[in-house]
Amino acid sequence: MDVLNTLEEKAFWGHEFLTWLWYRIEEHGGEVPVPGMGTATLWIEERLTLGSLETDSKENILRNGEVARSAEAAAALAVGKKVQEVRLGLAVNDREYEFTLKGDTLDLAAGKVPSVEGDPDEGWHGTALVRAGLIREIWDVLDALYREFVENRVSSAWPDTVTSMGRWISEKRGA
Amino acid sequence: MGLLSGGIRMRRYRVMGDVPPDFRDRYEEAIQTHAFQDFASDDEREQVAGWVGANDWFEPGLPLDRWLVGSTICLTLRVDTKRIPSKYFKLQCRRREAEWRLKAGREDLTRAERDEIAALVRRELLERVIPSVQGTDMVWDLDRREAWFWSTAEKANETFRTLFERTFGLRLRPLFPYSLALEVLGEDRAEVLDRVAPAWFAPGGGS
Repeated sequence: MDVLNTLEEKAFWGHEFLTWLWYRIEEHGGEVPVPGMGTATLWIEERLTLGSLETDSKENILRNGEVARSAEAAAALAVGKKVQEVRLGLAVNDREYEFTLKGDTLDLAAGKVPSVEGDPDEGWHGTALVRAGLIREIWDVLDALYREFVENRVSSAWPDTVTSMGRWISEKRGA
Repeated sequence: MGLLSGGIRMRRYRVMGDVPPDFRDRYEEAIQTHAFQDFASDDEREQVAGWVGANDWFEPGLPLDRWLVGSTICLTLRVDTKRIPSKYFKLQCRRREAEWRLKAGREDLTRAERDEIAALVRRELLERVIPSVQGTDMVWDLDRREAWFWSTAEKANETFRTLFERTFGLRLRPLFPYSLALEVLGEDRAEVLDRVAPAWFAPGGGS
């Protein structure tokens, strides 16, 4: 089978990851220990897209305000929708980032990294190295989180996670 | 938007295979071979693609210091495209067909004649069209075996993968959720991943 087709068929991994990430941030905090970096902090920004691969139901695209705490987001989760795309904020030490993460592909979009003061002695090489280092920080945090998710997803602890996520959704609905 | 300034929009790949110890020499030659080359005056292609320097798309020559930055290879994929407006193309073909009929002194043109006219019109118009120029950055982190390509568009990524693989002789695997999960667990546990079915998180059970 074609590699790309296989990857597309397994896109649910990404949607589950983003939904779990939202749950993790709200229920267990957005702090992420990253090897060699210390602790990063992640939060949901003002954009969230929910949908379902299993049904033809309409996507919910939520923008502006506290989308993660909105009644529409809770209602979408309650009917089985998962996160297809999320805008995240990230702080690492004194550096702040913002980006949209796509569930199907884990592509980054509309990303903002701290501005880089170019060193005239180093020319464009210096700017490239610093910006690449900043982008690497985003991927390091996402990789640490994805590892945590995958290890949980295939472990015997997963049914408990699902139950806990169900409770979280019920509480959001009741809130 | 790119490596040196602006916002971040990217797809991440794993570079499969090893970089040769003499990569500096080898890749310098390979990059030069696959460097961007402009349309020739009688070019019949609608699109040309190749590498240019990330710091300047229009400066020719790609010596080592224009692409090796620390332990990363930084390049820009330049794609120039000529698009012939389809309505104008059809109109020109009709005009030429009318002239042909008059010259040949008959009403019907054969399929081969029509094709010949279309090819002629296409060639003429291609010479007159100014191409659109697009550059998309690429960073290959040699230590992490990761390549980042500053676009999420499928077509652009397809062009990138093809050119990368031709240039460096190494395959690219997109780091999509499943392939990343496979890396986390290890390729030898692929069957564990394949048994995983989509979960239902909503309370009360679902499908």
